[in-house]
Amino acid sequence: MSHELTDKQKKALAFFDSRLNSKLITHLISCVHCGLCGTSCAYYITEERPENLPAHKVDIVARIYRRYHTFAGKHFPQLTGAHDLDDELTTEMIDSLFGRCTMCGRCVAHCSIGVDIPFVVRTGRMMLQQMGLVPKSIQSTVDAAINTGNNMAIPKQDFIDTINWLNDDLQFELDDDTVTIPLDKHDVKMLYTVNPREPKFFPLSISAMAKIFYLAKESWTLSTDYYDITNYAYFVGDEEGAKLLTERLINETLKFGADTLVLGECGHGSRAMRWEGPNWLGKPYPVKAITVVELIAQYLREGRIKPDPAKLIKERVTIHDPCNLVRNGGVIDEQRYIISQCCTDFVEMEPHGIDNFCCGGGGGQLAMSEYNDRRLRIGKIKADQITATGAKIVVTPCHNCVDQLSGINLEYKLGVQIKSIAEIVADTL
Amino acid sequence: MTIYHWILLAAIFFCIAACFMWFIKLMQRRVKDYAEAKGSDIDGVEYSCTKAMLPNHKESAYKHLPTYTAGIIFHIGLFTSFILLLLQLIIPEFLNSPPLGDKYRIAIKAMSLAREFSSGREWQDWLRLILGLCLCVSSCCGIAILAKRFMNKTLKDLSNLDDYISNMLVTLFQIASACAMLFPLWAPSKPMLFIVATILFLYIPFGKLRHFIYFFAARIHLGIFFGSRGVWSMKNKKK
Repeated sequence: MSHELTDKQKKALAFFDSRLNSKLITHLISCVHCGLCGTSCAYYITEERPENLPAHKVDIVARIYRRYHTFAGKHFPQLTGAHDLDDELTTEMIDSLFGRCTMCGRCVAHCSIGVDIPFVVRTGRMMLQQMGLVPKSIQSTVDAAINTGNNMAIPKQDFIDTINWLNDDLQFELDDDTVTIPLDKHDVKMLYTVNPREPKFFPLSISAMAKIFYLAKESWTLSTDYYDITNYAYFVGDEEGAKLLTERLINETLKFGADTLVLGECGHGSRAMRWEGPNWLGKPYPVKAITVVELIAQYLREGRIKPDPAKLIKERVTIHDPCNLVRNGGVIDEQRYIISQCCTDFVEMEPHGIDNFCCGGGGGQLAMSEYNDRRLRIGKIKADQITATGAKIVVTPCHNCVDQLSGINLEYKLGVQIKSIAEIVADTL
Repeated sequence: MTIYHWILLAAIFFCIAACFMWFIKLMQRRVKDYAEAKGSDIDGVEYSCTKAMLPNHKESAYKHLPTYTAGIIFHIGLFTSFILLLLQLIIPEFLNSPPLGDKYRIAIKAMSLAREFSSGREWQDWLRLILGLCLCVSSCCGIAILAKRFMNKTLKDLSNLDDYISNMLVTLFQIASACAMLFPLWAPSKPMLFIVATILFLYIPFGKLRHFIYFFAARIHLGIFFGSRGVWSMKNKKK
C-alpha cells in the first residue's frame, strides 16, 4: 500500500515521468549493485560508509523508478527494494545527492556496467528542486544569478568600477594608454564571460585575460549586464533557470554582434554552456561557444601570443583537471599544451586527465556551506596528489576549483600557489 | 518433447517478448543532442564496447581482481549454460550418446584425437566432463559472489532481495547445467535443469537480470556521451 502523496511529491513524480527517456531508463535499471564503484569515488575512499557509495546514490532514485514504473516494484516493492517517494526518502535524497556527490563522473568510466551516475544524481536533484527541497545556500546562489544577472549579486556599477580599475592597472603594466578592457562594445568578434568570483575576489585574472586579448589583437568585449559564465541552476536541477541563464548569454552575444561566446575559466559553466545549453534551448546555438582554454591554446599555436623565454615559469607546475571541463567536456590536451609553452618544469598528478580526482568543490559543493566539512575532508585526496608532485604552483582552468584548492592549501598546509591558466600565460607575455 | 520442454519454451518466449518490449521502449524514447559534437559518437561507442571494458581500464576490475575474475567466470558459465540448454532443446540427443549422425562428422573427426587418448571413452563423455567441471567452477564463483554480498557490510546495505534471488537463480542454473553434463544417466538431471531454467526465464523480466539487455544500452549511451565530447575518442587515439 503506497502512502498518500503530497502535491509536491506528485509534482516531482510527474516531472520524473516526463524525464524518462531511453538514457535515464537505461541507467536506472542497469546497476547490478556490485559495489565496485566505491573505490573510484572520493567520498567513499575518504569514508567507507554505505551512503557514500555511488551505487547507493543511483539506487535512491532507482528505488522510486522501480516503485512507480515496474511491475515488481508496484506489487512486490520489498522484492526489488522499491520505495515510495516519501519524507524519509527525500531526506536521504538531500543528504546523498546534494551532500555526498560532486557529480564529477569519475565513477562512470570505472563502473563495471557503465552507469552514468551523475546523470541519475542530477535527475534526483531535479526532483528535489520540483519539491522545493534544494539546500537554501545553493538555491540563493541560483536566485541571485536569475534576479541580478550574476550569482554573487555584484551591482552593475561595482563591476564597472572594478573593470575600470583593472583597465588603469593594465595600461600601467603595458605602458600603453590606448589599452582598454572593452565594456558593452558592439560589433566585436567575441563576448567574453567570467566567473563572478573573478571581479569579486580574483580581479587580476580578468586583467590577465585582457592582456592576452590585447596582445592577440582580438576583437572582444565584456557585457556589464550578463557576464556570468556560471550556471548553478544546472547543479540544482532547475531546468527552467538553467535555460534562462543560457539564453541570456546567447542573446547577449548576438546583441553585441559577436559570433563567438568565450566561456571563461569555469568548469561547470563551460560544460553547461557548451554541452547542456543547446539541449535546454532545444536547438543548436546560432553562435560558436569555445572555452577560453581552447582559445588561448589556439592563440599560442597560431603565434598570436608568444611567451617571452626570459619570463617562462621555472618553478615546478602541476595541473588540476576540472571534472566538468576535462572528463565531461573533452578539453584535455589544450591546457597541457599551454603549460608546456609557458613552464619549464611541468609534472602531472597521478591520476590525471579524464581519470583525475575531483578537488571536492564540484557539483555545487562550494556553494553549500552545510557540507563544508565533507568538502574539505574529501579534498585530502587532492592534497596528497599535489604533495606527491612536489609542485610549487597548481594551475587549474576553473575558478571554483581555484577556490576549493585554496581551501585545501590552507587546510592541509600545502604551501603552493593556485593559479588560473590566463594568469600563468599572462605572466610569461 | 516432454512437458518440461514445452514449459521451458513458453518461459523463453515470455522472456524474449519482454526483452522486445524493453527494446521498443528504449528506441521510442531516444533524445536528440543539440550540442555541436567535438568528437565522434561512433568512435565513442566502439571504444565503450571494447577498450573501455578491458580490466586495465577500469578500477572496478584492476582494483578488485578476485571479484572481477569471479564475475567474469560466473558470466561465462551462464552463457555456456544458456548455449548448452539451447542445444539440448534443439538437438535432444546432443551429447547424449554416439553416433550423432553424418552431419556431425566434422565435429566427430575433430575430436578423434582426443578419443585416441580417452582409453575407450567417447568424446562426448570427455566434453561433458570438461564442461561439467567448468560449470562447477563458475557455480563456485557465483556462490563466492553471493557470500561476499552477505558478508560485506556496504554491499549488504546496498542489496535487496532481488540481488540475492538473481544470484541464486543463476548459480542454481549453472549447477543444474553442470549436473546435466556430469550425470546424464541420472534421471532427474534434465528435468531439474529445465525447471530451474524455466524459473530463471520467468524471473528475468522482473528483476536485476534485465541488465543483460540494459548493459549494452548503457555502454552505447556512455559511448555516445564521451565520444561526442571528444573524451573517449581522444583517449582511443592515444592508446
